[in-house]
Amino acid sequence: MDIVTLEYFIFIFFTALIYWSLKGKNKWIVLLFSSLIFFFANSKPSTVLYMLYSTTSVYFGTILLEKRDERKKQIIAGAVIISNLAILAVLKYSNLFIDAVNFVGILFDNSEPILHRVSLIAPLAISFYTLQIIGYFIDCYRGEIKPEQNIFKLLLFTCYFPMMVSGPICRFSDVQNSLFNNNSFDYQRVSLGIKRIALGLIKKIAIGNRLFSVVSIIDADISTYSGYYIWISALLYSLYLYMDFSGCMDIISGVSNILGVKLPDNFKAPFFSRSTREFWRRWHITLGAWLRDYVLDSLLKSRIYINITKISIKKLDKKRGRNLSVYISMLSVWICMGIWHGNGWKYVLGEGLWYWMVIVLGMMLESKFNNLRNSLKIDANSNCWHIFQSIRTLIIFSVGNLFFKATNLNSAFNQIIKSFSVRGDIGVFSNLISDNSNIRGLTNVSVLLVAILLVLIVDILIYKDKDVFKIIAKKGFLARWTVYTLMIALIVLSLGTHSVPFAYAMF
Amino acid sequence: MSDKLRLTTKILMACLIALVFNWTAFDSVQSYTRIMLHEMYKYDGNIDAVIVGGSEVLKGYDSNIASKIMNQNVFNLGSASQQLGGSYAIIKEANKNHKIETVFLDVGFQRNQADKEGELQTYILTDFFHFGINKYSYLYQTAGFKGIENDIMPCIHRHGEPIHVIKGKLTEDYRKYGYKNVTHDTEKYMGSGFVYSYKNAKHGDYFEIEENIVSNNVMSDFAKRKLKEITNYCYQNDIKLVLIETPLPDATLSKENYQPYVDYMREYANKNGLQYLNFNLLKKGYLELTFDDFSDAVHLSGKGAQKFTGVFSDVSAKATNNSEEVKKYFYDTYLKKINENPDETMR
Repeated sequence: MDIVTLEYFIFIFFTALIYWSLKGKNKWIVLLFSSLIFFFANSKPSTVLYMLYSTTSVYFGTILLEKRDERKKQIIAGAVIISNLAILAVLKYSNLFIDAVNFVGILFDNSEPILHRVSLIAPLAISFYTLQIIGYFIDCYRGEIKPEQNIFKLLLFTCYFPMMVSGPICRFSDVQNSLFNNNSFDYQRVSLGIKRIALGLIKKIAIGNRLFSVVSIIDADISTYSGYYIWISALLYSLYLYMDFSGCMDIISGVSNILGVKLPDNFKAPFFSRSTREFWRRWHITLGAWLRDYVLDSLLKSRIYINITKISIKKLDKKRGRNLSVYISMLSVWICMGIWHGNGWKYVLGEGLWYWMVIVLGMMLESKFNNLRNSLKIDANSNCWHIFQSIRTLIIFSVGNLFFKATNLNSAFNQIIKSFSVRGDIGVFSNLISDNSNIRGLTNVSVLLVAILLVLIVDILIYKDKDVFKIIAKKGFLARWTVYTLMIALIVLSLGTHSVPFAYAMF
Repeated sequence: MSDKLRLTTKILMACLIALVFNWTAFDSVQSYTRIMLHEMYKYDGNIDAVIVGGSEVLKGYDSNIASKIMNQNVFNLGSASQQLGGSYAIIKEANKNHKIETVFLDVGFQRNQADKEGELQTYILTDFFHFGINKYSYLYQTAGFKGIENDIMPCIHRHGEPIHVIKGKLTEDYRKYGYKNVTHDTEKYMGSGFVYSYKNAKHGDYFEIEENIVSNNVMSDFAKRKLKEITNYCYQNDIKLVLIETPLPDATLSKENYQPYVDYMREYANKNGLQYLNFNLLKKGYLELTFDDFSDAVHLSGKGAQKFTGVFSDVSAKATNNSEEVKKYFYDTYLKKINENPDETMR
């Protein structure tokens, strides 16, 4: 069930209607049933077993943790976390391991692959709910939250249907109250939810679909669209990914808002970031927070890390030794980030190691960059400097995305080589528009530009911590309905664009 | 006003605005099917016979000529890429509004290879069907909820530049189902469903089509099922069903594994007590088709259509009431036809 369909909105409508109409303490059961219906409509039924295992293993794990000594708690925690990660690893990342083994085989002159790639069916949203439920378990282990006593409430937390499509990865403490709260109809909340959904639809279909169509034309014919077109494709893909992913988040958050469940934001105007570090605090926020809180935090407290720090300080001086151990800890996090993004080494490199390298270089050379900037008498607070930093960050992000969208690692490197070794043909540029029914014509171009302007204004307001919908709500009837009419026009006039599935829907 | 009523009012307003924008984007200005269906619904009198099929029918049968010769009201219900699911739906639609006595169903092999009904060809019809169970069951069977979405917002599958669409829709000709917007340099709508094509094929043209006949499965299971449904419907509603094949250029047809398909259709017709008039097997002397009579690999030109309609009407009138007559007009095999009476595209 694609979430940009009539079917989905009818499903939401009836879920909300039934949810609001029921009285009593257990309205959350409606959300649980709806979530299971959504799961079965979008996933092979047998895969529900994985989700049930995750929920029950964590549930009974938290029970077993009680009144145990530290050693036994560690064993239980290890067993629960490793078993859940193992399921995720086998279903999603087997081919990563197989490719590595075959690569080693090639180094030893094996002409035939040692292992053959597999095709396993993973349940819907396994990458999201596994991290979410492990996060909950670790919070219980650390004593930060009290374990949920009702296993069905925990199941709802695992499979709450709006988040099943593309996240966000929620913390139990963030959603606990609203998820089990027996929410009733609230005009402001529902109205805001609908507007958020509309914004998401504009991002996805008015902008995302159109940008993707240009990227597809370039990527399908690299021999024609070579040279700088490869970088145009990477840049447009970055913008498309933002519109697609954040658009999806807006729709999901809007739907959840309607039901009264507040989900955490996953994006906060990332393209206004001044650095890659800042970018990853504004992009896929919940994944970054999860890795920071559960991987980095655990690593920093581990005996191995403490020992590494001690050795580094001994070998180098205190400052450089500390820095080195920080870089090593960040490396682990970024490798995890890369692996999470996909079942291939291109993700490890493009979504992990590339950003680690940029961030570490940035940290190492920060003082030198500052000195250079000062010597050039550039005002660090000026808008021009901010724009330069944002564009630089976008370019860095686009390099990573070149790997993300390439078929494999070889293809990504070939494209990079071609982008510098071959000259792009300016003559074919117009074909990107004339051959593209999603962009061709006055209406398509106008809708795209107006939609981009609208999203830009929204993001500027978000960057300044302002709520665009609250601002609009304060305006008069005419002003409000002019904006709403514009939004409706952008959506309706884009319904005919060729649509692609949400990029993160297969995670 | 209560909050729920306020919200409902706002949602309705938003839906209304969306429908207005949909109207500006949904490009039905040059649609033949829109006018064809309007004429079918508003036909002055009773439509006695209909011819259903794809664009080969749309451009192949001049209803006015057929009506004169057959001395009954004949209407061409052909539409672009119409498959048997669409034929079934449109037969039911016509029979809701008229007492149909005869259905001439084109069973050209090229219509019957796909294993499901195409969405676009469904919308071509349902965009202009009247509201009813027939419309929505056909839509839902083809495309599920997506079909319903496309019905509410047809601009999803058929959109044009709003400026041109608005201009076209505000003209009197459009509102009164006139023919100005369906008259072009290469073809024009002539009324009662027939489109006259000015384009002519010529020597050296490419006569080939995508669809191929698989010898051990000449017709897809989907098409077989739909043909059966049409047969049963006609039987239950006391409608005479005649299976026909509109002539294709021999340069196209001869590349296909055609005889097994002919044998299958003949057997089906015999088993179900139906007439099968395959005009690709017409004997020498009845119809000489030249390059001028075709416009491309599958369609008759306007001239060819009017020529063919005369023969079709004559043969149908005589042969449909007398199965022995059928043998007089048609060869048994396509090979014989090619050897004794190939059209100009093969000579």
